[in-house]
Amino acid sequence: MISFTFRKVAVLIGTMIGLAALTFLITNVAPGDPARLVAGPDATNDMVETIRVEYGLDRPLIEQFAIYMGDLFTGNLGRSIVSTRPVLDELARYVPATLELVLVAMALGILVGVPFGMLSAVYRDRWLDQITRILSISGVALPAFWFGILLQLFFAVRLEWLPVSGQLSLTALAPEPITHLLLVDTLLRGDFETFREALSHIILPAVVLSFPCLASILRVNRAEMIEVLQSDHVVAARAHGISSTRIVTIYALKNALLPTLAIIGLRFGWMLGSTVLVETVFDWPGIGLYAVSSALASDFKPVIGVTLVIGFMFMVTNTFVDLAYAWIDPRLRSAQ
Amino acid sequence: MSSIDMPAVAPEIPGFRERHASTIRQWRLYAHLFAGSFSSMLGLGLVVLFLVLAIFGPVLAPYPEDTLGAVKLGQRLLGPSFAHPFGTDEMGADILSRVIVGARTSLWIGLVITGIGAAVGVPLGIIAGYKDGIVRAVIMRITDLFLSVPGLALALSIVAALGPGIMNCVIALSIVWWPGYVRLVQAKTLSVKEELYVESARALGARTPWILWHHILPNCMTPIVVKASMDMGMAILSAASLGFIGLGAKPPHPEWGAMISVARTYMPDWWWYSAFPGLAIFLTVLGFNLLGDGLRDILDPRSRGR
Amino acid sequence: MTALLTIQDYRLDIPTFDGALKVLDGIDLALDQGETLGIVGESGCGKTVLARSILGIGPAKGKRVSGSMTFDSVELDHLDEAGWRRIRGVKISMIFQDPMTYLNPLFTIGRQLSDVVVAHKRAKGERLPSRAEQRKRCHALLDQVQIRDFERVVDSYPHQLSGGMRQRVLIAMALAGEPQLLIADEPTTALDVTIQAQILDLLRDLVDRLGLTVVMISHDVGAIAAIARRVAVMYAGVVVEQGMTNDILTQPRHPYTQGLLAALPDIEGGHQVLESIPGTIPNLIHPPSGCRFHPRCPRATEICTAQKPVARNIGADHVVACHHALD
Repeated sequence: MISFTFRKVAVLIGTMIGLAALTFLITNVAPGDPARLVAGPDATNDMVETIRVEYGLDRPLIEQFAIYMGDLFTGNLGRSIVSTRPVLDELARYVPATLELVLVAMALGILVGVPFGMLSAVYRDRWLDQITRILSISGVALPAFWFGILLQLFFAVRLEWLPVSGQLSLTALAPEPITHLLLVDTLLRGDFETFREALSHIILPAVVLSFPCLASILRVNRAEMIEVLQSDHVVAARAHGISSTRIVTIYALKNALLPTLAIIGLRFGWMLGSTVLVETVFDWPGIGLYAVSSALASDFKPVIGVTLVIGFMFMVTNTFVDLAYAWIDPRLRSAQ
Repeated sequence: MSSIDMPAVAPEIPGFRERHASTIRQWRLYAHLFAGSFSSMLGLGLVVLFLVLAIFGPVLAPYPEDTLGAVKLGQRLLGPSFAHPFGTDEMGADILSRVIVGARTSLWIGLVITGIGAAVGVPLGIIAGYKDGIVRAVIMRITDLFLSVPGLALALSIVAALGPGIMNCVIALSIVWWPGYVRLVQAKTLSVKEELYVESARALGARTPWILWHHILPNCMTPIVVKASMDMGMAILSAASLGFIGLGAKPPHPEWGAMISVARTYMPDWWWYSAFPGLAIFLTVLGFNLLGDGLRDILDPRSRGR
Repeated sequence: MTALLTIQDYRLDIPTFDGALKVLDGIDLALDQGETLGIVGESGCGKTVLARSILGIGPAKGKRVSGSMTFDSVELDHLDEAGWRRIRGVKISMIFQDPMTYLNPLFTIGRQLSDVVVAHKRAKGERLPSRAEQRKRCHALLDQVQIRDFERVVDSYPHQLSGGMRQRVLIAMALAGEPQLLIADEPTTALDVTIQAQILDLLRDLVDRLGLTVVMISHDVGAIAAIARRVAVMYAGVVVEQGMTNDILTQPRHPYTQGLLAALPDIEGGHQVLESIPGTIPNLIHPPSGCRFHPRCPRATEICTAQKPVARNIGADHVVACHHALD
């Protein structure tokens, strides 16, 4: 198990280096002038030349690559043109909000997706199954940005139950940070008023973000449950008099959870990508919104920074999923 | 031993039906299963509707000139009515017409992205699955690298580098789309390669390209077709997403995502402006997903409830 | 004395796209307390479906067309979930073919075995055993199937055990509820030949010692002969011949049984020519008219195509369903 973990971490580092190289490639292979890309659209020719020298863009590509990788190792992601601040500092400010949103959405997806997938499999082809199937297929097809707008129209504008956008209302004061996760910090500080405030803000974006994920967790879990419920060991368990409830909730679920886990990992990455849409719709101050506004302002360094961070978070998640796999399945454990 | 001994009556040549009896039965079974599934038929219906709109859009649109950026300030932002079932936008253009014509944009976006993705990914996947050693290692490493970043995020950074626009958006999505096919086809090739008929073809001295073409590729077709159907929807959705962010198609080009992007500033009072283009995206993507799902149900016996 | 298990005119169909598979076609069987019955036949003859139907775990889409199954004066066809729980494992139990796939790969042997123990206690309405009692019971059960290194086996996962060990575990599970009737579905088929003999010895020993009533299913006549005093021969969903194992093996009357026995390698006799039965198992959607065996039968006459033969007694407890049984 320890060597397994070690190998996974090695792969993670390798892929991270590869990803850094890929971003370098994107910057340099794109038609046009990388110096101009960095300088932004409004820069004068002189400014572009200054940047070219300052960033070493006049040197050979190989050398530039070495410098780029060296910078990344020391945490230097460059500066944003718009704010002129280091990209790393800005990322540190925006990452917690995104992380919080994604984690809440993921929790929603698992807590709803797994049980309903299970029920859907048990009551196969009955009305509950039909409804969850329609929901789960439409869930993947819903454009997140459009769904978000509809929910805003209905729950925020029409019913006025929930706030339209943002992470907190303007009058609320964020607590002194501990974990930088707003929901956690407000609880730790005992500031329940702000906690409620934060919770009401996160509901709509989290629902929108989690819906496709919930849908695919449900679908995969349903399909796997159906297959497991037909397998020999379930037949044997039934023949030995184990009750159906126990078979479904303990024996079969653990078997079905393995492929479900894979889709959870996959969907986590998908969610990270979708934050650029959901955060735009809900004005959520996270890295997705940061990437979009930077991209629209032709501020290139922050976009690359966000890509690297999202890639990193996705890879870490997948490493955890692999470890969880080995933890659940003894065959993988002893195969190491 | 010559042609003189030809029998007077030619031996009865079995008719088309007899010769292809098992194939016909197979297709009848497919059709039966497909038609028996409500969701598959719904998917097929939505896809057909979308294709009709994409092909005949300009003829069907009630106000074709509105799709080219006509300005009719007199009828800005009208609600749904008989004359304008989906209402009008801030330029006074008929939203229904723009939604109908938008289908064509979406169709070619979907076709190009899926087509490039499959054209690049399938051969690489077959090679990676069939060859061992360094070739496979290199292809799969690169594939995994691309899959290590969520597609939308990677596409966003590529579009940011290339500059906004619908063409760049399609290029960026094509670049992030192919690795999915490599993964799928490689896994399938790996399993087909071990089958006895492939082993025996190899033993009989068949050349590798022949085996790839006659044995490996046909066996990979089912998952490819299913994935391609689903990907049509997902590619359209992704392109619309970039359009919504403001990096894809630019108004007045009738593209659904871009329409919603503009419409968002007219929320909440002019709800129809964002509602109908979004509905078009949803139904199109839903149609392709249901179709792909239905195809998988009938083509992949493992998922069929025996 | 009424029989422990009675199966009367049992017919089962499985609907498919091309029409219903007539898997079981009027099965009549009776089994007394303490008896050992073997059911033998080619794969696909319906013997596994029959065995599973006794426990209500037959094919999910299977539809009973006619007939009944009665166990200890309980009508098995009308049981609900709760009713089955009072039968499965505690009254009727089952051993399966492939011990790898019939154990859940993700749980330890100890966990699966003690779950079965707890389920039986619950079914019998007794006090649920404590952890220590469960472990003690598991120990006793594994001891019964001659697993000696208890400590290692309880904490193992199925993939860590050999095939023979897994089959012993499955036998222990089947015996955990002290059932009256044990159904053994091809218990040795998936095992190595040397292990087969061990498992057969173990089974015979358990049957003798515990006085179990057994239905053993196999395509292997030798395995059946080792366990069963009586045997029923099945062909295409029909019992074609049944009687004392000795009689059937020495004086088979049904042409199918004769063919089946002639196809066995005779180790002692040393003659090497194996015979085979011409033809293949019939299509069960459109089974042959009359006697289902007639297309492959060397003795078939007109009556065989027209009329389904009625099972008749031709000697002391020797029943044959053939028009030409005495020819």
